Amino acid sequence: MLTTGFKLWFGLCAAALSAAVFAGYTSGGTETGPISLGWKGGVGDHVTYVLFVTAAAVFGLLAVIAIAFRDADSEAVAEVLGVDTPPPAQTQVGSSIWPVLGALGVATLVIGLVVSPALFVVGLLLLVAVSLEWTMTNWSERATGDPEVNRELRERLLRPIEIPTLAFVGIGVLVLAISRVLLASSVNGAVLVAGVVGTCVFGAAFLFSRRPNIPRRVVSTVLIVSCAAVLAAGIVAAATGEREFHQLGGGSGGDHVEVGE
Amino acid sequence: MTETTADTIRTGDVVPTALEAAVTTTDHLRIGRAWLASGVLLLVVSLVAGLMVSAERMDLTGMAVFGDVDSLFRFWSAYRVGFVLLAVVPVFVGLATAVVPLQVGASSIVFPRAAALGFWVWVLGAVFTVAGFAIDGGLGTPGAVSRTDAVALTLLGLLMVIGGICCATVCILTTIVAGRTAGMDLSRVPLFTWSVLVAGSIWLVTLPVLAANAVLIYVDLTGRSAIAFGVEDTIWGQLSWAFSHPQVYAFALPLVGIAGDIVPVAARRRHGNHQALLVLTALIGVLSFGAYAQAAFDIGTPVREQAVFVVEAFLIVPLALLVLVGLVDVLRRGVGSRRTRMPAPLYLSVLSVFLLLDGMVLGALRAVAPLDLLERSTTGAQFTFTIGAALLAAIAGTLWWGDLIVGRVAPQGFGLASALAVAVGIVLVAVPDTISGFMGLADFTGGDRGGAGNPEAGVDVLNTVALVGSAHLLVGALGWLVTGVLRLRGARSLADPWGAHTLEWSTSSVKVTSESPLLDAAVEVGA
Amino acid sequence: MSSTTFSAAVPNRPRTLVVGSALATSGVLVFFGGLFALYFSRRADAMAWGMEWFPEGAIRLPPGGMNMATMALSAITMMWAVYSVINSDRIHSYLAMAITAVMGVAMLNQTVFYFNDIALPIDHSEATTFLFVIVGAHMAMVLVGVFWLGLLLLRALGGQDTSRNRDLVSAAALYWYAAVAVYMVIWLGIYIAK
Repeated sequence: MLTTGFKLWFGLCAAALSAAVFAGYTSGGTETGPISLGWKGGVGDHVTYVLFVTAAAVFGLLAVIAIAFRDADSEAVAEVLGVDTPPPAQTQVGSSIWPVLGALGVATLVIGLVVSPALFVVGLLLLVAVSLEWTMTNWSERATGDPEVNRELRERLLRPIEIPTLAFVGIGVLVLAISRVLLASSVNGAVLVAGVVGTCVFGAAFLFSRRPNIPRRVVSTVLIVSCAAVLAAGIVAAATGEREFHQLGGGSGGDHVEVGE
Repeated sequence: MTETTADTIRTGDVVPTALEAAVTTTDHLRIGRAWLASGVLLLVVSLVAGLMVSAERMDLTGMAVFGDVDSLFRFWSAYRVGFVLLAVVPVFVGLATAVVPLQVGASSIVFPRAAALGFWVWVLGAVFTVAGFAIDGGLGTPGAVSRTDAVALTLLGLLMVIGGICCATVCILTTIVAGRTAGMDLSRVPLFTWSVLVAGSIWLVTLPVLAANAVLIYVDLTGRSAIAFGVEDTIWGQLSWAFSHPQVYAFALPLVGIAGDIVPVAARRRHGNHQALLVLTALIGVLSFGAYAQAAFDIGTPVREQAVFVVEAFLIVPLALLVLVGLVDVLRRGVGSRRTRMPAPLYLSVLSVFLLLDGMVLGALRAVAPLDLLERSTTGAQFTFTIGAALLAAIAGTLWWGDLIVGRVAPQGFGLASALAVAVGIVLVAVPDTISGFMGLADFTGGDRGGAGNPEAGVDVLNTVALVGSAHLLVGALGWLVTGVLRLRGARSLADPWGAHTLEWSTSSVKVTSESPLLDAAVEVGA
Repeated sequence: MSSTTFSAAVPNRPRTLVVGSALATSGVLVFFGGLFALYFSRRADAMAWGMEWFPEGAIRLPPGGMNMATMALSAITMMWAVYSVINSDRIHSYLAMAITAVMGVAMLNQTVFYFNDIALPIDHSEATTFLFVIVGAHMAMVLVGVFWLGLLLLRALGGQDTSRNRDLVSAAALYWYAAVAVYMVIWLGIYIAK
């Protein structure tokens, strides 16, 4: 029996193929060109012909999938599994940070393409890391029938890798960002920035340690906003460039002093 | 069946903050809401650009708003790209993400994390696209004065936008195909789901072609010197097929499903022939395949003068007419039995099909070579009719399914007023542009870019009316935004405010046993 | 020493992943369709005007042929992987997936070497721009496939590439076959037809 999905996609396939042949003959195709995919003769307008044929091929593929799986109907799936009620197509999954981090990876990659190859590589690495994490999360969700056990399993496997890596990357990025700001500032400005940032970090840490009851929401908001501000400042400073440095002392020796303006 | 709280909190877990929950959600209702909110906000941004362009058209010799023709062109192209890919299509994707899983009886969207990824990629891409346009980039200018890196950013943002939409579309289509509940044969799915299946299939075979164009342009643009595709004044020409006839019909196609689902429930009458509507929707879908109509690559006979383009343009009109007739027939049969007032989404959805039909008629007229309308402002009019119709249907859809998606009631009267402002705006923009086109006014897509809005063309009054129309569109969109905000503060909604009995409104497990589930799905608790 | 027994996870609903993969792969195929459409159009135009398309001797058949053979063989090893998974033959499924991935890497390596060897700049002409974009996009497609196979192997080592989860491999296989099909068009349309 022909399924509805097959009828839809096969119909679209047939229509696209007919349009390709029609377009071929009415746009300068030779006698056998449009019906032989250009093997024997011209196909007329290449853009029109190739795109309709591509659409037909893709719809054909979907039609074959639809008929092979009987539209993936619930009843067909139940029959394959030999059960009365098939499992849901999608099991419930909890909140996940990987989608947004994956998108940030793509965004970093894109900014890197426009601004700097280094950022492109960072984006690529972020995407690879997200893919690995995503895969391991999927794996753990299928490990046993107990979600709690699955979660513990995942954490036991990945936490020893995640925490040091995140700490390393986090510290690295912050150091890099702040160093860009310091290099872009004037000599006195850099001293001021270093002093203010250091005081803020120390002050916030002191406050949080003294007031352990501060709501988690406040702590996370302060951290997120601070990190975003440092990152933004770092990007802006990197785009602005370093201040001018003048070498003092010169000579062939390694001892020299750089002074910025 | 409709319990979809994916973001379950385990006992003893730290309760996530609102920000954390929003960022990490995989719940299809929340993701749908995020698409809708972002789409409406970006719609307002796009319409502001449109209003500025309309204001500038009042007197192009003075260039009082933008100062030069290149900036005008940048905003003009931003308006078209933004209206379609940053506003109307995302709103449809949002509606589909939220509603389709419920309509087919799935417990959740399939691949919820990928659906969230699709949203985030799209939204970041949208930010890059807007930023690219704003910092003297965009999709090229007639005078080739753009910043290359900003154009590159716009193109890459556009690629992310396409990628995000395609990713979300794959999740939605997989849900329709592989996530249906027992008894829900594909031929029994509600019309909105069916129209999304057809439209999504067409999006998947056309948007990647747009991506291919963008990649080719990007690579050439960022080489040592652009030699063909990246040459600035040719960029828009290579991408413009996605924002004109017939491709715009593919973006507007879900409106058929929205009207098809609202009308029978509101009129309390079944469709005369559900299967016929499925076939009609599929036919409109295949005729809206527009990736081939790339005039920038014309060799020999221009593609828009070829038989396939003309035949497509004319064939699609009677199909839309049949859809409209079918809907009006249901309405006619139902009106006599209704004593209560018809709901606002009903009027809006039928009106949207009528406006789509107008767009299609205009599209057919554009294909008549002797009328010479291809490079005229009829192009913009056809765009406004079609995408405007889609916008109207999207508003109808949010008013109809909003209670379900948000769980709170919106002021329907305010929503209706906003939508009517949009409808008036569409007519006030599209009709003058149609007349101007017949009078010879150029569209920007043509070679005579500086000629659009030339005061000497005798179209001053028409341009003034179009400006008023643009203002109406913006006011309507702002009203829609306010309606959404008011909904967030509204009273809790009823489980089934329309008495629809269709699957998305059901709160218990469902097994479909009827051939025509739209009005009488058999609800079997625990099935 | 005590041991705890956990219940097995509810099996995945079959078909879902393959349907999703088919839809996503369709989008990728159309992307290449768009590039090929423009390529063949511009090439036909250049030929009609008697203009040079690729510089003489720039496109050589042996590297393209070797790549085609590599991709064709990788399609067979991918089928082997699917067959092994269906039959719960884990050792052979690891082997087949690893060989497929290695072939993908080999193809990438050959392509990079060849493009370095011909030393044509990307902006030499429209033809070279097309060449780099199409072949580069295909390399990205293969790279994604190799990475996907790597992730599958990771899950396989976790014991999940069995007949219970055959869709994991079938979905990747569908994508891989599409990559082979795209290369076939590249081989015919660029390397042979030039």
